[in-house]
Amino acid sequence: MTEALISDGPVARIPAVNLSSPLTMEGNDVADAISGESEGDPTLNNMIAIENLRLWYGEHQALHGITMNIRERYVTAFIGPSGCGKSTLLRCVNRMNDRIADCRIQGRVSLDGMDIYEPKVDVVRLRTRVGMVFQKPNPFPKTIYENIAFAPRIHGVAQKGSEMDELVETCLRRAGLWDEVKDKLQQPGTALSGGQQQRLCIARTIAVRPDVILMDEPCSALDPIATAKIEELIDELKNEFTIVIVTHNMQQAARVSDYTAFFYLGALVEYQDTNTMFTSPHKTQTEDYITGRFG
Amino acid sequence: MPRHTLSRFDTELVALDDLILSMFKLTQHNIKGALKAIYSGDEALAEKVTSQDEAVNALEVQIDELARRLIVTHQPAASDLRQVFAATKIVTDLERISDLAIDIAGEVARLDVGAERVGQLKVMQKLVMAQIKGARKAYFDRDVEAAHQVIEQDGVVNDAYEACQRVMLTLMLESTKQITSYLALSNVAAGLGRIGDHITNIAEMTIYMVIRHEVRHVSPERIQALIQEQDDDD
Repeated sequence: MTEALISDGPVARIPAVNLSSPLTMEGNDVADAISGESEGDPTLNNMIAIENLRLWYGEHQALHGITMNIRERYVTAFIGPSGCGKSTLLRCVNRMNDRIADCRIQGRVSLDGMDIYEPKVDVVRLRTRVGMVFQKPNPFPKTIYENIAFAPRIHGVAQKGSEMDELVETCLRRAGLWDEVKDKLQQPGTALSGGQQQRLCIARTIAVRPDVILMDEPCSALDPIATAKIEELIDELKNEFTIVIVTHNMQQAARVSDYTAFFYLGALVEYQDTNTMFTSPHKTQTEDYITGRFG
Repeated sequence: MPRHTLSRFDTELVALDDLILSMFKLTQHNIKGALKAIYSGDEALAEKVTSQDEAVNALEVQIDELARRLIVTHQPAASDLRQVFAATKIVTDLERISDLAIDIAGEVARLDVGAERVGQLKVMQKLVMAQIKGARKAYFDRDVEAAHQVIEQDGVVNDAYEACQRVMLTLMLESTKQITSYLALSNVAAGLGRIGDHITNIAEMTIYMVIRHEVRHVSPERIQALIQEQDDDD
């Protein structure tokens, strides 16, 4: 079981991060980052606040004091080479790392002000608020209809009958899948194409009305057309959900995200609005990575 | 700068700069030739300058094509993107400069007085030639200070142009029979002034390429401050 070690002392108030400035949040910089005077844009709300997050897999430290805020109803992309900690960090946001036996975490992750690592937090409830879409589509071995209806029924989001029918249709429509599956709702979800399965998984995720959708390389197993459909969907969903996407495809990060964070060796190197990140990064490491001159 | 993982990309960026260098050289050659024709009244030389414009146009197209290919095949980002973007803007300015050189050469046929009678024109010529030489060096050395000097120099060119026009006006009033010649020289001065503006654009794109700040429509003082800020960041 994961040991969530949260410091006993009072947690410093996190100022709204000024995303127009470069951020380097590693080691001792964290203290400066959380005591800074930047007030940011008051009209922008931070849905997720990560403070000095450190994570170990056994003896190996995978995250080195990450501090960053993720804005509500924007798309934030995590980029970086393999092993940089981006997926690990993503999984911290809905406590997926709890399932890893020798994983230890220090620091704080807040969802809309609530520390998600507090003992009283119901992890199942947390995961309805923070949904996740994985690299490989993983529909339930059930019908298309049941893939959507299953979680809302368990969590009491909707009852059987017309209310559920309506929810299923709404979610499939919002995932851009309704027209393709409306005549085969009783067929297994696994019979769909890869791209359709991924959109089914997104429809399933939004069915429980989460605040945040985490996407871990959601298009890496898809062809370009299916990828474009997912990207189009992300663009629409950000009006209602906060989306965090891990991607190895930098053009995808540049296309779909509003903010981009670059990680290297478990540290947050730079966090910028996406346009700045891909045209004028401030850090040499970022520049080298996104121009393909890394290592 | 570290080498790109894909060596072909670096090779193509070098090829892009090689083509821009060729275009710079040809354009400088054309300005020089056009002014020489003006001072010597050599219409054959003026014709030669005009015929060389095709090579400049061909280079512009070739550079744009390479830039398009680079974008499609490599999706450049950050400094690479700025280099490719700057290249496409700079070649447009170089092509326009070459066109202006042809326009200048075209005035030879209307001249029946020596251009040396307007001393300010020589001043403009020297300034503009120094400006384009500076812009070329700044681009290839990625030298923002040198680019900034080129931009500052544009003010001097503009002042020289105004002085030139005042002299020309006086000469036109004094010898109305030669008004066509002085109008032609006035066009030469105007052409040099516009060339100065295009060279300034090139210097601005050079600064953008190197320090990532957009400096078009920004005062030289503010540009200097941005360069200083960048130095402090580095």
